[in-house]
Amino acid sequence: MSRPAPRHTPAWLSRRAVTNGLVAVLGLSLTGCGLPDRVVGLHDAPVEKTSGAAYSEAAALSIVTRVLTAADAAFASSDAARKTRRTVLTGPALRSAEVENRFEDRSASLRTRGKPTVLGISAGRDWPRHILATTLVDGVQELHVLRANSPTSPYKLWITAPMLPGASLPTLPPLAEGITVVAGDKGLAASPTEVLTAYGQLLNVPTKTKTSKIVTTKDAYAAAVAQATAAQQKALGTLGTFTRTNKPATETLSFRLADGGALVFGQLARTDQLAPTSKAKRLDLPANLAKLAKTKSVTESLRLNWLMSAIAVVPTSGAATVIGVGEQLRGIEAD
Amino acid sequence: MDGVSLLKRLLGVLLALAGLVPLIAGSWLAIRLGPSGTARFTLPDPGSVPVLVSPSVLNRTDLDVRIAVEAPDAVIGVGTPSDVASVLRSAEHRAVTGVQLPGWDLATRTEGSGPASRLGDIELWRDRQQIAGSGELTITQATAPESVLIVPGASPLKSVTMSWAHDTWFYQALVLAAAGGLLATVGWLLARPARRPRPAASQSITVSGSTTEEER
Repeated sequence: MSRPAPRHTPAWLSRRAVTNGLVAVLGLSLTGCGLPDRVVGLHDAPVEKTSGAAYSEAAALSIVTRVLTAADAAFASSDAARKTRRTVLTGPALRSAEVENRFEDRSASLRTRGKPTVLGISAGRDWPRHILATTLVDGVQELHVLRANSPTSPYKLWITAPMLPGASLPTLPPLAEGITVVAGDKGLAASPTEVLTAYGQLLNVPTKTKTSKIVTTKDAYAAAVAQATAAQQKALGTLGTFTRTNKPATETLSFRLADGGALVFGQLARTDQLAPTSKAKRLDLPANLAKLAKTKSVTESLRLNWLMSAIAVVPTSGAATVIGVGEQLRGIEAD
Repeated sequence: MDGVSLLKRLLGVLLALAGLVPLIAGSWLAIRLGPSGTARFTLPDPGSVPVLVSPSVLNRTDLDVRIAVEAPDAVIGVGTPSDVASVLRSAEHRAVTGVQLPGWDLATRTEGSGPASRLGDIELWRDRQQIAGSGELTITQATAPESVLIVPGASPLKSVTMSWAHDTWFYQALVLAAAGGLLATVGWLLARPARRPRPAASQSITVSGSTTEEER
């Protein structure tokens, strides 16, 4: 018996295979098509957090490096470079730089500044913003505050001051968290301005304030000043008088520390005066001082005007301590 | 032709047409993306105003974004969105709003009015790249959200290209093309004309000892 001839349909195209294929294609289509977000991996953009540090450490370091390099050049520039100084310096740093070249320490330009370390970056997105940084200069740790007043104005050096021997910097908030400026004396044992003013008064000669509850003089700078004062008075003896007067601090900037205290930066103006007594007709000046004063002797008085850039730590309770001071002679008046 | 066959052929035509779309689209995407799966979108002539890329474009995926700029003199700055907005303020700029297919273009919208002054000198950038001729910057998503501002110098920008690379996209395009090809093939097989039977030679079938001649 002969059988019917078989149909010429490939095995893979059997009804079952076609059904399976269609199901597979349908499945693939449902997975890929119509769902571009899933294929591309699209999601909503994250929301900006405005509470942390305004910049990354790398960005801040770049700014600090540029500003300090320019600031060093500005400090070393001639008196004619007034305009250039103002593009990179501001506040106390500008006042310290805007002194005649003859009063500046010429060896400063020979010092080697190490790579900066960023200690703090302003938290939030408000202006002005600050960057707190430090550098090591020939074994001396210096602290720097940079400031930008608006989004379109570049950062400038606001103050720089060396830390005192043996002083340490209290813990600052984590870098990513950012630092905040302390308004007034909020949460502090005393107002930063009052602390620096009181410190100046303690160093006055003669002084009406022997001790203060808001700041101590147990630091290397106060000790050196007391020692120098005693040596000066001893050298003058009864032939002359020595007085020192610090003006109240007028411009301070404070950053909140991790423990709630504040790191305070400010500048004091001070005048050291030497005057002959009635027993002496005149005071002969040492050669280096005579060169600066442009006279070899004075008959009335010699007044040296200084700028003192200071760093203090004001706690939440108790007395503040000064951890850094930098001096700059800004003028001499000889009569 | 009976009704079932007609329906079968109609279904085949539809399947073939439906398969051609993903086949062509998948092949086209695979060719454009390449094995690295890089999608490039270009803004050919940005002009002399700054170009702003905001997080709504920059930070919508987990992929790194490469921004290449061709300009005689320009600055690419990366900063936080609020900072970039504060420096840009109401200055005229072109904001990148998305990407466009099939042209592989960046969609932009002109915003603000008035000149933008010295934006390249601003210091709030997390990253900053000075361009002289051509240059590029890669933005990771680790620091998202961020905005990128491309600020032309004295000369206008020639082009801005953003690219995202994800090799899986290439394979997905291939799968799409293969699925389309399969669908089109199945459709074609269903739609093809049925084979007409060949005229068969006479054959003898022996049934119960008798011989019957049958033609098929």
